[in-house]
Amino acid sequence: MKNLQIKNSQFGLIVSLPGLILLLLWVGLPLMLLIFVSFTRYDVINPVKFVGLQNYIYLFKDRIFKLALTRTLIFFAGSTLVTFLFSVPAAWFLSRIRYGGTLIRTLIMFPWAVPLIVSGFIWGWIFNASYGVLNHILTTLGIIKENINILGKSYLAIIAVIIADSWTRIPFMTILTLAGFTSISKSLYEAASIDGADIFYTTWHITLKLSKGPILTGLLITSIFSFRTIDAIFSLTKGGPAKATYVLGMLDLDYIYSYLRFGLAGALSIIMLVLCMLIAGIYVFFLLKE
Amino acid sequence: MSIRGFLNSVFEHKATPYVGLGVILIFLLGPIYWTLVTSLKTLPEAIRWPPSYLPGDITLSAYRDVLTRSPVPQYLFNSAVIALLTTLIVVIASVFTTYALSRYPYKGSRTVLLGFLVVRVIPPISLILPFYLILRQLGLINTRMAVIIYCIYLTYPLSVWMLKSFFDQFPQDIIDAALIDGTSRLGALFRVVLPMIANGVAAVAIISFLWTWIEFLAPFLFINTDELKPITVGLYYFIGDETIYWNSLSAGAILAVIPGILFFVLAQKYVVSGLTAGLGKE
Repeated sequence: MKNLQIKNSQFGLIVSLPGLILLLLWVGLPLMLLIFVSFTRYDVINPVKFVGLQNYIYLFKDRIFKLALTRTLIFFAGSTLVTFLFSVPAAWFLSRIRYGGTLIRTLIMFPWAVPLIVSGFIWGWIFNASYGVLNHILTTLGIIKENINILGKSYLAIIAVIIADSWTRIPFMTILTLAGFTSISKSLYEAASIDGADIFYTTWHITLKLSKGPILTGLLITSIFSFRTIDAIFSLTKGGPAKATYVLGMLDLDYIYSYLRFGLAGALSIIMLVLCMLIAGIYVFFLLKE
Repeated sequence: MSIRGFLNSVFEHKATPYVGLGVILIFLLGPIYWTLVTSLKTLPEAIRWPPSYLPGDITLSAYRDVLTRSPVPQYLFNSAVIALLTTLIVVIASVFTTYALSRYPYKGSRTVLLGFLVVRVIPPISLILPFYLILRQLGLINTRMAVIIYCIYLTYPLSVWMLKSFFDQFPQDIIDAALIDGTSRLGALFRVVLPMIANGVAAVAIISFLWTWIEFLAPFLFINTDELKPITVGLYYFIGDETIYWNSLSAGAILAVIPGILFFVLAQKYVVSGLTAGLGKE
């Protein structure tokens, strides 16, 4: 045919080539530069100098790095857990209602539209020590006697940033889990109920066990996003009080923005990248086992 | 009756899911409601103790202040420019790329697709340093273009994966029929394929827009002139002020959230299908 002068495979290569170049320029190039920078002493005072693994060695010995690593693990694990504890029941309830499903689903999506930096502000206003609505609710209920400075106490500040972060992640996880739940054949439930299975049995053995794939996928995404995003912490606590919420991303930002030590920031970026891949790898292992 | 039997009857009751969802919705919507209420108060009312859960006299003064006496309109405009341009570039690029990769495979095209997936595991925060160094070298620091360039990296691989599922599902017969009629392969893309997967493309565009709209770290690092800041960075500097105008700040937050909520209300179905296809936001 005249309109198809070149082969399909040639056409595919030509049309996708600009996109491929875009990917290489936008991801390949920065990645190479990052790897290079991580092996150099790169700051604003001295000339750039190759130093081998010194940046990595410095970080692994650094007390602040270890502290930030611990905080990161607590933060991302906590955020994933809270997201899970809200999303799976929400999806389960949604799969069992007959009326209003679309409306409730739309309402559940709302926090997803909130930029994390704004989520941090919104929760900061709720947690506020002097005017915060949460303090009012807790004192009215008699749970606390007088207002507490939630963001001023280390152990409470961690919980606060976990809430502000997971709050925006619940919608997506819920939708993904719900997609898993609703793809299960109705006949399985009917067969189980004929056998006399009760709701605990069917929920555990059918609903949850057959949705392992979507739930694991959702947890994977929640985990790596919580691991690498610091916006909520940034607007809520800025890493405080007394570095209680100082995660690796905050340290990275300080190296770039405050200390201007790009070599160390590079090494730290590589470490975060490897940790992220490690987390993803663990989930993919379990997903493939399914 | 046994405990298990009792719990069974509770969980199987028709009202239980609604009660459960009610509790979850209070947690999910309460903060947004509280921000909205605060934005409709005057400052003295906003910081009154005990707080009032309904605004006494609803006043739009906070919105008037924010829209006329603060740079918030400029911030919103910057956010819109950055998000629209990013979306335009990303959608055009990913439509061509995905059409070729999905329909006209060549030796190595599967590796390319895998590449688009693998780069999504790279945490954006790790690449912010090399982007900063490159943009500084190019003299682009303190321009909106810098943020757009970074956000292309952020949204492009995701867009390709979301679009891929829409292209993959498209029946080949229809494309073949158009080709037999003498249309070129690119003509088939524009005249046949795109009109039929318009919803999918719209979903991808919305998600790219939102993802760029909510980005904070890149504009925070790349832009220091107030007139160029997007709303996320602008609001952040609001908080740093000595006296916090909680009602105005709340009004600013509501304005920052509106585009996203509007998109979800209007196009929920497509956004959800696009998301579950491409798996993930941010």
